[in-house]
Amino acid sequence: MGRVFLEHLGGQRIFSCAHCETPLTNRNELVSTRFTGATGRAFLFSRVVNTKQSAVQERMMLTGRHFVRDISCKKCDTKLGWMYEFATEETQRYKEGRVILERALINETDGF
Amino acid sequence: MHTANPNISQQPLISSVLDDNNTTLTTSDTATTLERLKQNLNGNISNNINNSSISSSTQTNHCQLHTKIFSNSEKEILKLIGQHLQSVGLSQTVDSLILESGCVLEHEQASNFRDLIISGKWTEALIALGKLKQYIAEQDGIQQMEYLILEQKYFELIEDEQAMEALYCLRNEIRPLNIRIERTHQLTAFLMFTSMKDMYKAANWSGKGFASRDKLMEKLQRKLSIEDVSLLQDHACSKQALPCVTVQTLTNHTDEVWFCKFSPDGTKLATGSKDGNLFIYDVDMTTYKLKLRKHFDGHSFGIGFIAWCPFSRYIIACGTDECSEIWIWDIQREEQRSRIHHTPDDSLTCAAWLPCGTRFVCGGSRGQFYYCDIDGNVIDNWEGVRLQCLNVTSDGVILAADAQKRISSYKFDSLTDHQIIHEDHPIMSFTISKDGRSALLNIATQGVHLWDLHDRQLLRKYQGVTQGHYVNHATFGGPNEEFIASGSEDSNVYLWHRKQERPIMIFSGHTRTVNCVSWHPILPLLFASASDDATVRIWSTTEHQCQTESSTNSD
Repeated sequence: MGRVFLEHLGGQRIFSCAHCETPLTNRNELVSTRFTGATGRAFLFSRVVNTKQSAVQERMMLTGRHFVRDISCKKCDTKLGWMYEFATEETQRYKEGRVILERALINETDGF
Repeated sequence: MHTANPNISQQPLISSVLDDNNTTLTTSDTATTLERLKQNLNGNISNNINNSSISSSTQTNHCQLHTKIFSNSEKEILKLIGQHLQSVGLSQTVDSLILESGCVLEHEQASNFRDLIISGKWTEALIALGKLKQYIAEQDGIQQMEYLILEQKYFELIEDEQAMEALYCLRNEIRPLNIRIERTHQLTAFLMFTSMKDMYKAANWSGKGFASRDKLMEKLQRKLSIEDVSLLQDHACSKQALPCVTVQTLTNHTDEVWFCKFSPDGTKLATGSKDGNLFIYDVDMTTYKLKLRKHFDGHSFGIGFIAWCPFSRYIIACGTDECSEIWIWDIQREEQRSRIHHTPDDSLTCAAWLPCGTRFVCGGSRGQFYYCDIDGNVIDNWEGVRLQCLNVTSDGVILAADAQKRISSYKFDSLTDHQIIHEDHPIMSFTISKDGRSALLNIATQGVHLWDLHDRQLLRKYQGVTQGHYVNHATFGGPNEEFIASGSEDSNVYLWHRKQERPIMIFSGHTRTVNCVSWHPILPLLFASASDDATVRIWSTTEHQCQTESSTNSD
């Protein structure tokens, strides 16, 4: 195998994978904190790096029917959250293309 | 209008062919000569064999020369070398080359004529013959040559067992020439033969194909007396060789024209507009003139996209974002075939036919992505993709550009998708080259990007256009799809050579945003542009310019 290529977005408060500390995103990319995942609270980010996406799945959520892809860490493969591909309701369209990361699966640290 | 000379440096190739002179060649003429040289070398024998044959030809003595027979490809290479030497100015070398090799340097039109004969394009050959009139010495030479060409055509039609066409050819093409009447009588007899072999023997003909056409070419060659060679015209650079004037303006539409497209067989042009009208024009392949054939109306939301079926028989017309149905028109019967209407909330803005011609895919930005058949039945439905543009390659691979700046391929039978291209800015539209290898994307605010679909690489970004506000459609075009053309919001049409970022020509003439450019799939010097000023302009070379600029309003 080779060396996994990792990006770093930088920022003042950095969110990283709880398992392997890979930087994922920062506070600037945070859109909303009012989400719930399997493990509890979850955040919606507009841009996240160093992740892998699964195939599209259809899920029924509190807010309606959505098409999502599961997101996992590029380096250690742990599940982190999901990203929205398509929202059936017009009011939920703002989520499309954005990523949910569950609070329990990520760390928040200070950047520089 | 701007022109630029593509600067192709060919140094390694020169040193292997022309001994040790490592001169840097910068003139466009020589560059093209070398391009053709390179093509010939790549296409035929390897470099080594070339070197040995050329060097051996220069070493042989005069008395041996006339017995040395060159193969066709060797002759062509020698002719190209001769033309190059001529253009550089080494005429003494050219003379000795002609003497030693026994090849006369060929005139460009004659080589074009020869290509047409060898490939069997008889009507075009006859047209090209007309252009070579000045080189025919004899009085009725041109008629003799026409006779020979038509004779070959007649024999080939008989071999193809197209008796009716052969008879037609004999009666309406050979007879009116009014020469060699006895031979014409003989020719009628050949139609009676039931077995091809007997016919071949009687006619002393070797059968359809390269051999007999080559013999024909030799006979014709004797009649043509081509003089000195002229410099090889740089095809891409000379202004006369590029379509650069508006030869026709079609003013049938009453509102912004949003889309125009030539049919795959090149005989028709379809234009769609905000006023809801779809006009079909017939294209005359010789005069390049367009005539209105049929007018379909009734699209309440305007026509934003048109897709021709691969057999040029049906057209899908899609509306705008608010439109939930697409209409299929039958061009042959000149009536509506079906209307695809699934649910009233749909938005179907783009469509593409599959190579079979009976099924197509359609979709829009509200997330509908349907796989339908021509009667309007939805065979399959892929939920959850907001589509901007659809295309299908000739292999049947469905490609779609979605709202998340990606182009992916979709397989309905296995319900899998693969991401191919990921852009940084939204994709407005895209089109695929005929070989299915490259895709041309219109990116909002960023211009026109060329991607390689197999390697998933961005090849080139083309500069100059202004776009981002309105949907724009660019196109491939020209011989070998070497050109890229696109409209722009500054009311100009831009033309690029595939290998250069800067435009080689900018066409002005429209008064408002140019929405779509469509290049003729067969004729290399004809394209159409549709604009918000309610006109469609047809661009071609000055030779094809009509007397009047206005459209013909006949029905």
